Amino acid sequence: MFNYFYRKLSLLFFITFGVTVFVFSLNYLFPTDVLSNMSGITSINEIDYEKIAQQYNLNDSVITQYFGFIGRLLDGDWGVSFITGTSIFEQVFRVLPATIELAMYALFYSFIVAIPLGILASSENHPWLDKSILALSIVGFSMPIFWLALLLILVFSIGLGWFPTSGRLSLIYDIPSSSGFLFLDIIRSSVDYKSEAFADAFRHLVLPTFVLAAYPTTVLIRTTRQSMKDVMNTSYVKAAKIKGLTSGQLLRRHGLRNGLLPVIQMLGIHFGTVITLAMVTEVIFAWPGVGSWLVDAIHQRDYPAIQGGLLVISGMVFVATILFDLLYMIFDPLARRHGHGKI
Amino acid sequence: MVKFRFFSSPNNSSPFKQLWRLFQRNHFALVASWVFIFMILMAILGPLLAPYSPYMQQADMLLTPPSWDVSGHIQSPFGTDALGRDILSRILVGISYSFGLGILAVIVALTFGLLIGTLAGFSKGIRASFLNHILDVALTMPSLLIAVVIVAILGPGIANAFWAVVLAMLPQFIHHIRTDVADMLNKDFVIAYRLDGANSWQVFRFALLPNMIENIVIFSTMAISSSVLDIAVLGFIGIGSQSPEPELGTMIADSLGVFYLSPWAVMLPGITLFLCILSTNIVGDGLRHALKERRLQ
Repeated sequence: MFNYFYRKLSLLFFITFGVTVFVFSLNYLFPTDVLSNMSGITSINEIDYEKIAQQYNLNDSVITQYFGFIGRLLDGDWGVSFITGTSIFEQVFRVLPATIELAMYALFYSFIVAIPLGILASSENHPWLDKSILALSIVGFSMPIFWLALLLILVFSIGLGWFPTSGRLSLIYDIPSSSGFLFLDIIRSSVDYKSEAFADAFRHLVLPTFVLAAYPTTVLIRTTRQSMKDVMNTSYVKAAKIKGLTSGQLLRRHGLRNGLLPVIQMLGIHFGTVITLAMVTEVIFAWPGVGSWLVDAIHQRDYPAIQGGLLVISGMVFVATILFDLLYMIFDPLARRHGHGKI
Repeated sequence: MVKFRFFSSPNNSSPFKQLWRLFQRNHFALVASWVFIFMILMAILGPLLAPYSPYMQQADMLLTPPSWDVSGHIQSPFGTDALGRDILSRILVGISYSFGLGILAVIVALTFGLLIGTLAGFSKGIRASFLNHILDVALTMPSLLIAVVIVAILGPGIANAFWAVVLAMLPQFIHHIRTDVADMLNKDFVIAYRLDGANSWQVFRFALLPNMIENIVIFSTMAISSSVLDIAVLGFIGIGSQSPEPELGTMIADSLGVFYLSPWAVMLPGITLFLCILSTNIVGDGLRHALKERRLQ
């Protein structure tokens, strides 16, 4: 167990090293001046140049520069944006909670929807149900996410007028931002229109969550179906059936406990994809998260901001992958045996 | 025990023929494969078949509805967009941009992946371990994110988006082929072949490749759908191909402003893209299923 933790931690260390080296090397890869990329100051005059270069160890070796870069990352000095001139660290962590919120709701939603559907599809009593659920899942898997979003906007926002098209909350509600997670903020705020704000935030959330959840839902349906089929064909389930367990007991005691393990693993593998799809969803629904912020930064060639955004997004993906892996290991003792430096 | 099988003659046809026969049983997959082949033909011939230039703007025909609409015209069957460009021509050229480039990206990634993956599969010790760690880092990063990073470095544009998608897919291909090669090198028939005196190239060419090719085809088919989607998504968020280019994702993004006035300008490219990806996915699924059944036989 501790051995396994140790392995995962060393992997995390290696990954962090790799990503920071990559992000550091972006300073040299981007077309603008190296010092501007590091500091975020676009026009440096000659007198200041020497001083700032000294500050960023530009005259020393690359290795010293790298360690200086790590030190600044840890201090929270991520440079300033080319465009707005404000601290990138503050900007990133102001928009990050919105993305985490959206991704969490989408994963949660897909978890509740996909698992019952997957179990239904796995039962051999209803082949037509299996076929229709599979067809639905392959359609959902092939649907370009931005096109799905536009279809839903056309039907539910423009046609029926049920849900708003963009943003997290109507402008008429003024909720002071403390944690960045909107629902938490609404609960903690002391305004007297809490329930209205809550309902409004929920209505803003419905379409983006559904769009973002389409991909993980289809993947989870297929995984659940396959693994439940595999589990239900094993000898121990057949033995339990012969012993006289009802199908409900069979599902609860043997089926779900073993069949849901690959699902946890899949969640970990696809978390990264969900985060990148969240970027697209954010762009369409004007959701003020780190994805749309990063896309804006790319449009504006705001190189320090691109670096910060990449660091945060990839860091989030890596940490989540390893956490899901640990979770999988806690649930499945057999998984602890192998895992030498593998994700 | 003697078995009497009057109706099933012994099956001596080649593995590919058996695979094709099993694949044909699934009618959905068969139809999807026709659509898939049609789309490939369009990707090659589309620019020649297009009635107008995809960039030609007709100022007197802005936002014409498709010809099945009452107010549509016959000279532009799918209508025109906000700048008066013929949507049918744009879609025909767009298929070769999105779908054709997606397939090309997979072919390029496959070539490099086969090279690096095989070399990695043959290597042992510290070199293999080093490569493993690099691959682990690259594989945790979702391919779209890697593509976004590469586009951020190279700058927007369809050529850069293409290379970004190739590079983003490369780790998956290398990983897939490396595991295949490493697994197979321990099999008895490969060892026997080595004992016969075959060198590494001969082992690869005559023992490994014929056994890997089916897996590679299936894996590549699935990769096509993701590469087409990635190119379209990059185009849609505006960091892939740029505005006048008739790439399907970019076309959808361009027509967003007139979405309410003329939904067909968004819907028709979307349906085309959806058909491309759906047919690819169903074909890939059908192939995988057929392979599984053939192994059971």
